[in-house]
Amino acid sequence: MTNSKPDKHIATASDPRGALAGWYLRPRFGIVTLLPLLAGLSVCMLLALLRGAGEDPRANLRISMAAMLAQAPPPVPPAENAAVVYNSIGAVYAPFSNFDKKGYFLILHKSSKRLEAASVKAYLQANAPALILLQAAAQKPLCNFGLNYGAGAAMAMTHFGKMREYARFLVIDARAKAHAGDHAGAAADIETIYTLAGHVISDPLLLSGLVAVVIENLADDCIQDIVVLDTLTQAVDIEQYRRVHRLDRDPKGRCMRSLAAERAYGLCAIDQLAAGAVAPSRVLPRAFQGANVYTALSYSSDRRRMIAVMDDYLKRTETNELDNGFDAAQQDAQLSEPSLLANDTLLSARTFLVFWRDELQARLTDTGLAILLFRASHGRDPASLDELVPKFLPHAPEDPVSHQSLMLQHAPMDNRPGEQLWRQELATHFNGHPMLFIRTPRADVTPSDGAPLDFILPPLGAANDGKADKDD
Amino acid sequence: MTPSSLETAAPRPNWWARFRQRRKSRALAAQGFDLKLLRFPVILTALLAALLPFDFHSVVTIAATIAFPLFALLVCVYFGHILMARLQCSLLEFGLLIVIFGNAAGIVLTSSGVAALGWNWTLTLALVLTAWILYGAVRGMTQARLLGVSAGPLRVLLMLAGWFTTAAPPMLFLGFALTLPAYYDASFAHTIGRNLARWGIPLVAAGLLGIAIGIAIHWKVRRAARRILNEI
Repeated sequence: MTNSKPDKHIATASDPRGALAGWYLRPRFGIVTLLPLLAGLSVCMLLALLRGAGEDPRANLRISMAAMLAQAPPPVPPAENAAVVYNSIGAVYAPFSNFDKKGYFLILHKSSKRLEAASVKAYLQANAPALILLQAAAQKPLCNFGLNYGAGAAMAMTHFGKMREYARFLVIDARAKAHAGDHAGAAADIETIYTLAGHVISDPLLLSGLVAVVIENLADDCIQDIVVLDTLTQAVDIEQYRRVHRLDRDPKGRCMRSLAAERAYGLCAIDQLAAGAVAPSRVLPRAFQGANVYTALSYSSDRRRMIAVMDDYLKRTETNELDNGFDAAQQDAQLSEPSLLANDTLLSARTFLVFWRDELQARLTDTGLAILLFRASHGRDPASLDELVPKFLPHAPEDPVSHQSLMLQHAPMDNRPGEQLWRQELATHFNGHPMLFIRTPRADVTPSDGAPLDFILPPLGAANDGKADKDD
Repeated sequence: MTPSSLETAAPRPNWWARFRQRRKSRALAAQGFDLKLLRFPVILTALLAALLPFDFHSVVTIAATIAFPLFALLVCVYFGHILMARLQCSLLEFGLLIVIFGNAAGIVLTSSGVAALGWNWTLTLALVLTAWILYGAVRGMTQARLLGVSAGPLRVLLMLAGWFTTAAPPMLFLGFALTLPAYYDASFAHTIGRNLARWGIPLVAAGLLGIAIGIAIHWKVRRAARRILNEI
């Protein structure tokens, strides 16, 4: 009887219930085919759960754009604007790569003999008109680079590279002058570099602040090079550098200003992206830009978190919590949270510590110059930094973050593998003689390359005997 | 040797042959419900839409973004046709469908997150919601027909169960997505917000309940369907 069963099935096909039963028992849609439906349903449910939590990026953009425009520096008449002069330098400036293909690698932290090369002389001679213009620009107290704040995240900042280039040119010029014995000219160049950095931070943006720090560090490194490689001994020369060196760099003020600007910039950027005002990609047609499920689900929470983090940093900076006992572990915990856009904010907030490191470097350099003056008058090294007070320093220098006193350390130069090349060169040059290091007691203060942040003084009585001038 | 003993001595088809035979007969019975040529665009758009989370190339993304609402539209067309033409949905049930659809779509489409969506995504979500309503209604109505339940409260309950059981897998997935990360990172609830985080376990429970109800009803209906087809 088993063979007759299939016939019975076919016979029931005329019956609507039989057809329905057959349809029900067959797989209508595979689970894979239904997956898009289930995924879409999940998104709908999530949207329903997030009901009321979302914000309109277009309405937010109007507010954040107004805040962004409020960050723009006040207009400056062209006759008083240093940026006008900086813009004109491009026409007369010839980059170092035109004269030496290895460029600045040969000059920064390198032996002074390199400065006697024909290429360096040609470079400095060709750029004499640029130097005059740079000094003219430095005479102007006001600067406005005319950035387009109304473009928000799409704002172009093309002047940073040029300003760093001019600062490097001034470093080479200062070192060449110092090597030739013209310390007044070198000090004037270094003063111009500090003024140039001051002009860069006429814009309150975080990037402007960071570029200004880089330029100031170039000036500090230039003084360090002159101290170690050209061995300053005359008090009158040391005084010249000390006079132009910028000590109080107001890290808290700069940090507050940059944080406020970065808050406005970050919010404007996220609003522009979500509203489709700036395109994440030019390839996609307009209908697919900005508006997507990620935006709908994450935009509001990311934006709120960004505001919370930036406000937290502003508050902590205001109450000196950011520069004193800053909790790196807490920040790491914040960074580990799964959020795409807000993490960018946290990372940029972390860079604000650079302002305090810059101030530390300024204090180390100033203390180094004070010790050189002490050496010039006493003929020996101070036993401790307290000995410099009050004649050479108003008070004992301290770390701007931990407020611990800086320390003196006599030690031979490290010549270990992985150490910065110029430090290895110094170690070879001074042949194991103990150098005098000024350091912070904090172990966690290092520049990005991992080398310790310090100021190095040559051994007492060391003269530039030419050993350092040998080429590698 | 009697004729009857000869019949019993004939070899019985093995399980695979019986399975194939059963499938063939069910297919013959269900001829009118077949997707026919519609099956190809449905499968194509479903596969394309599945590429959406992956960032291969902008052309793929555009194709997947277009395919997603198209897939939802085809599902709507097919199950709308089954519901209206084959199952003869009653006025009461149609009214219920509109009420449920109106509320569900209203809750989603008036949520402020939609303000950040473009028209293409709003359209996709609206179509997905419609597809869910129609698919769930067809599921409930078919089960009611096969169980012999006529128009009335029980059939409405079966339709509601159809919607609930269709939504169960997304509820389970969403519930796990909201609950499980908190075991690895305690700050997760802080990130997504407490209001959202507290939905995790209820959603998991609802998802499991929906799947259990779905299986229970399906077993009962499958038995009824096999009885109609004289399989048991």
